[in-house]
Amino acid sequence: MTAPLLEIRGVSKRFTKRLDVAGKIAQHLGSKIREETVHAVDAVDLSIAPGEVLGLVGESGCGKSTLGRVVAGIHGASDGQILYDGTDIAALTGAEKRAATLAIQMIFQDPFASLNPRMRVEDIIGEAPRVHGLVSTSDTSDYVEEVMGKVGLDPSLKRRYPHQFSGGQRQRIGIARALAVKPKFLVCDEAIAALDVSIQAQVINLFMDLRQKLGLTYLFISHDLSVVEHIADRVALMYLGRIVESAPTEELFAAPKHPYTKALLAEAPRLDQRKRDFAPIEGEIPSPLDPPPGCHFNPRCPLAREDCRARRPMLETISPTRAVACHHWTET
Amino acid sequence: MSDTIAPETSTPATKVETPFRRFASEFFESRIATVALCLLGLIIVLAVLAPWITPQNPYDLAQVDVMDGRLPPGSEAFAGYTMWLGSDGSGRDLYSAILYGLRISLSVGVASGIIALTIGMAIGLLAAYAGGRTENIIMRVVDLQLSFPAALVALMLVAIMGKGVDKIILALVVAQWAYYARTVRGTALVERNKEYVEAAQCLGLSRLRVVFRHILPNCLAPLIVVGTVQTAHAISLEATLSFLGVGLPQTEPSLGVLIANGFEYMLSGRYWISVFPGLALLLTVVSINLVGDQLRDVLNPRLKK
Repeated sequence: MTAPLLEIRGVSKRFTKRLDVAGKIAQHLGSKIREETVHAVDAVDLSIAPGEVLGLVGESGCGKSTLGRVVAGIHGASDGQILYDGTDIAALTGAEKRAATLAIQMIFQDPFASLNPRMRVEDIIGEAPRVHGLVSTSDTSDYVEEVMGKVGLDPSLKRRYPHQFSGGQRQRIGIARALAVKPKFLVCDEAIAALDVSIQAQVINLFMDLRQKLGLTYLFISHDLSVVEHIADRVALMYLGRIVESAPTEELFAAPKHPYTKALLAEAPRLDQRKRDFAPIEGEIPSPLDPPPGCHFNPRCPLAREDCRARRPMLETISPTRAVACHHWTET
Repeated sequence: MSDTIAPETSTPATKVETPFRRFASEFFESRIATVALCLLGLIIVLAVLAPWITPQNPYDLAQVDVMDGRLPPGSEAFAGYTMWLGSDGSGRDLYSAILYGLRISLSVGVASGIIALTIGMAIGLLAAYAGGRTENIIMRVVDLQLSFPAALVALMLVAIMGKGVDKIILALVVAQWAYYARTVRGTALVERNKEYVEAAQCLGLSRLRVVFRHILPNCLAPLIVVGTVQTAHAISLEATLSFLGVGLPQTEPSLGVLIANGFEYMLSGRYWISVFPGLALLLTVVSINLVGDQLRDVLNPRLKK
């Protein structure tokens, strides 16, 4: 295996809601108020090889978007390191830091909130490359047209504002904005979830095209199993802030190991199983404010025993390409 | 995938729909606001052109004749011109005095509005972006400031500092910056969490650039609305102070001073000395407020049908 382009080492992200003065007084007087900490991401390890598409899958609220934002540098990690090309991004300074920042770009879910409504398309796309000196001010206009062409937008529309475009076109503008700083790595956070199904296919194809032409690497965050199955080389499954299983896409879909993966895949709607009744996974996803001890999945797991409630299962390498975090995966 | 996608809007390429054009067409949907805007435009034009369209400079004592004092509307002045709105106790032509008074009232209102807006905006943005303790301290000061009536704050300051245009402007700025700060902070907090700001961070743009080029332009809409309403408020506040005799000096009569001058003649039937400047003030403040209301309706997406 080649050296990973991006490596996530033991990354955690906690959000703490601190008590204000009134809260502290109330606590002192015996109120049950306490500081609330959400472990959005809990000691995650992942590595992504150059040119690979890693699908990150999970229910809403499991921390996959937070992990994406930590990787993209929008949130700082509470613990752990993000290594780009073998070096810790947090330790870089000056030009090297800027290069690493620009190399990792993000595509957002909401094509409406992710574009500044008061800027013209040419400024949205051209601002960053101009500010960072990737192109000169006089060449910016041509450069913007070139990038717009790459993502399938008509360059003659560059003087328009975002509200004059449809959802799919706006998403292309978002992609063009990211591509304009010549990134190597794209974090796609539910990048197609807000689009119509017919447009979803176009945008997925655009991602695949760009991957081939520009040699991009993707962290593709989604809750949609069929999309991930189509686009990803490898899939990592997240549950309540932790990775529970990672495997090459085909192997994962053919033979899931973790009980959560199994339950999820068994209940995914498929054309050949139209007649059967679907049984949802029992119970709710627990609150990340108060996660269950041991394995986070134990309250909903058919295999759960004493040790599952006592010890956290670590992500265990079970074959050169697969890893699973379960005490009892052999029994499945 | 290589073919480009045509725009869905069917506007011809020559007439691109800019946010401003859309905004203007929505603004003029209301007849009342259109009339108010025209009226306001007229008032501003009259005030600006005052030296060229009035028969008398009311500040120039050589042109003011005490013999013309308290003439009713339509009388002829000693100098030969007709005083359509009558004259005040010291012989000033009221038409001239009102237009010159409007100049002072409007410039005091606009100047204090712009200065208060700039200061309030900077403080509000700082609070929203810094967060934590800085934000808490700033916002408590704002709360403290807003808990005093603006007229009281201005009155105290003017009583301490004395009369004069510059001092009035300073007092109005101190009385009003907090409204702007609170407005900007509120919208900036909402905008800061939108994805386009995250995208800008991701693109490695500097904090200053994110705040001033990305967040600030999106906070302008409510700021413009508050700005118009507060300018109208500043004009009436200045008139109040002048009426009470602590605002502008007698030698530079603003509308408030003119109203105060005529007040003593009201009971003797010489209504025009107070009423005409009062009407001018009323029309100015009401038209600014109507324009401000329509701006709020147009610029606030939550009120859109």
